[in-house]
Amino acid sequence: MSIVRVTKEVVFLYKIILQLLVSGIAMGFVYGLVGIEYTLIWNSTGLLNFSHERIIMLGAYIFAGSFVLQTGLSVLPAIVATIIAIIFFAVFVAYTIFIPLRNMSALCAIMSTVMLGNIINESVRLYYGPEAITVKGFLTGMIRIGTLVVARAYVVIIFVALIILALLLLFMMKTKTGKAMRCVAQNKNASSLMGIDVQKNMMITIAISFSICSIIGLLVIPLYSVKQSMASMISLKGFAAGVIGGFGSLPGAIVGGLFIGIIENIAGMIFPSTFKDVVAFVCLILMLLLRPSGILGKKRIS
Amino acid sequence: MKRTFSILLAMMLLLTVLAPSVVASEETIKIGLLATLTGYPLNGEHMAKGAQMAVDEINEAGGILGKKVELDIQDVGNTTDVGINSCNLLISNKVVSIVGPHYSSTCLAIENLINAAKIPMLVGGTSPKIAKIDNDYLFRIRASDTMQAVAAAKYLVEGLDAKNVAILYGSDDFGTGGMEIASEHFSSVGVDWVAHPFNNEDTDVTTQILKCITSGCDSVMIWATEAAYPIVARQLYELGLIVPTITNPSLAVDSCLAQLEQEWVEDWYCVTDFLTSNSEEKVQNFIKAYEAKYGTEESVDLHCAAYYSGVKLVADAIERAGSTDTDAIRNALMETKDFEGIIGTMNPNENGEFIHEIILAQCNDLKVSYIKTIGE
Repeated sequence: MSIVRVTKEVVFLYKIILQLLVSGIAMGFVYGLVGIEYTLIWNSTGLLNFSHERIIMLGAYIFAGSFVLQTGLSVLPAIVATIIAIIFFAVFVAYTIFIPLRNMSALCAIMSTVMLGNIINESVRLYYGPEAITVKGFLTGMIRIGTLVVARAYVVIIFVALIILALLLLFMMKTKTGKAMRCVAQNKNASSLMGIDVQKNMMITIAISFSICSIIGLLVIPLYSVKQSMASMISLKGFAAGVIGGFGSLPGAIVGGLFIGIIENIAGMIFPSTFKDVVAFVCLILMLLLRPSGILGKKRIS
Repeated sequence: MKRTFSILLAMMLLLTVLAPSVVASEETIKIGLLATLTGYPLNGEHMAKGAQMAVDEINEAGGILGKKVELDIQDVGNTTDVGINSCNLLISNKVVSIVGPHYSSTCLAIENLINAAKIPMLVGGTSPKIAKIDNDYLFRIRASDTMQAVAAAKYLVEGLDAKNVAILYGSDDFGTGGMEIASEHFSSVGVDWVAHPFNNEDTDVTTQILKCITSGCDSVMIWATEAAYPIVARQLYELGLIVPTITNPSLAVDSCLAQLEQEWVEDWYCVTDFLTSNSEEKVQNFIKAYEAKYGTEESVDLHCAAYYSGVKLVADAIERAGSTDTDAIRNALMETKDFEGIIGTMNPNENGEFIHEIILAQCNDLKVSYIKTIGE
């Protein structure tokens, strides 16, 4: 009798842990993508893009507000249109902010990315209004695998994140531009002596980074609707993911993201659930104290 | 050049200071309205339209004590400093009473001003803190959070026969307050309960919901601000916790419903102060009059109704006091008996709270419909 009960409880616990793992992995990939998106800019320009939270939000607003609700495009063309719009925006921002500021003191550069974030935030509020919007039926629903219930959004997040990673890897390893990007990340002076157009290279990197931002924005729409604060927590945890995985390392960002996503979900089961966020940031601080280079990090060549 | 400029500036300043007293005429009775006209959320326009409609009706019927009523509308923004400035302005404009503001934080920031100036203020903030303040001039014209949480908890137990309740609540002031009151009620009637908080920025509440499922709950109570609903409702549905559910008034707000899918919240219950589908005659008449005045494309909501009632209540008190002396009005307000407001019959208790009833409603096909009114 009691053995049956114990087995039942173990099976139940197992199911719960599995359920938490799935949402942990999905959120982990979101954090990982955020980590990648700002690591790209960091490697290329040496600047931390503090406006990335707002760009994620801007992508979601352009998609939901402008293309789906105002012009009535269907989902796929709207996604393409959003990415194109964001790339134009990225080129503009690259030539007006990131490239001119790369040689100034870090503080000036950081402040200008923060201000860029504020400008985007207020413009979005003025243009789209303060109320949250949603795209009905976009990535909603769920998939049942045995007793496991997985939100369709989570499956899509994992799938899209893997595709982005694969494409990025191919681009960086196989194409000339990608190789040039890695050169610029290692040494800007040497790169320009080798005949690489560093400015153009930075512009391409920023465009890629911003496109990833907008895709993150799209992916999280079914999770928390389109509102101004939608990306604040994921951008912070994405930053933590980068540090935990190894600052400046692209695979590290994904490892760090998965680490945070899974740990915080499991921790929520053990500790009071509101401590979830605390756990992620305690991990960040512990990592900085014990292993500043992160899980996969090696010393950056300076 | 500099000197002429400074003289001009001084004159302009002087004019702005003098302007209100020049305009103010002896013939009208001034009632102040503190409305959220700028900043988010923008509900001040509805507050102003509701209050203005009450003033126009009073004036058409001949005014109060033979004088016309004038509404002095000031913006409180969404920060307390703007609220304090506007309140001071109303006091210096010699209003006999103030209706509004709508938010508890602003109410708490300005209550000492109106206490010092001895001007009655009828606020719409629902925080339990407001009832605890020792201020003879502070009144409340909406049901408090305490009342709403007790009503919801009672209905779960008595109406829906709950034996084991899971409370999911926001970890902020509002959510925690509701949870404490409801859990106290559950304990007092011997109903089992568990409570799991989430942060307002939380993007995933799987853990909390799984904890609720593990506890074997047969019903759910959600007490949180609007922003949490799209996430909590979706995940409750996805994880299959589909049991009788009751929520705070956020669910009945149009902007919240617009973010939800029909199957997530089908058959959910909520408590709320105002519903356009309320079949009571006074409510339907109010909606008709409002639409006749401002057009049918205007959505009639709580803000229109509550502050319309507030102005009418003040007018009634002035009439009964027979004077515009603020102390006399304050005493008349305390002596109010069964005044028919749009969001309920108004009777003050010793803390100056006027509303003691709340609407129970149910959500079907993303429309919230009136079930009944529950008393305290």
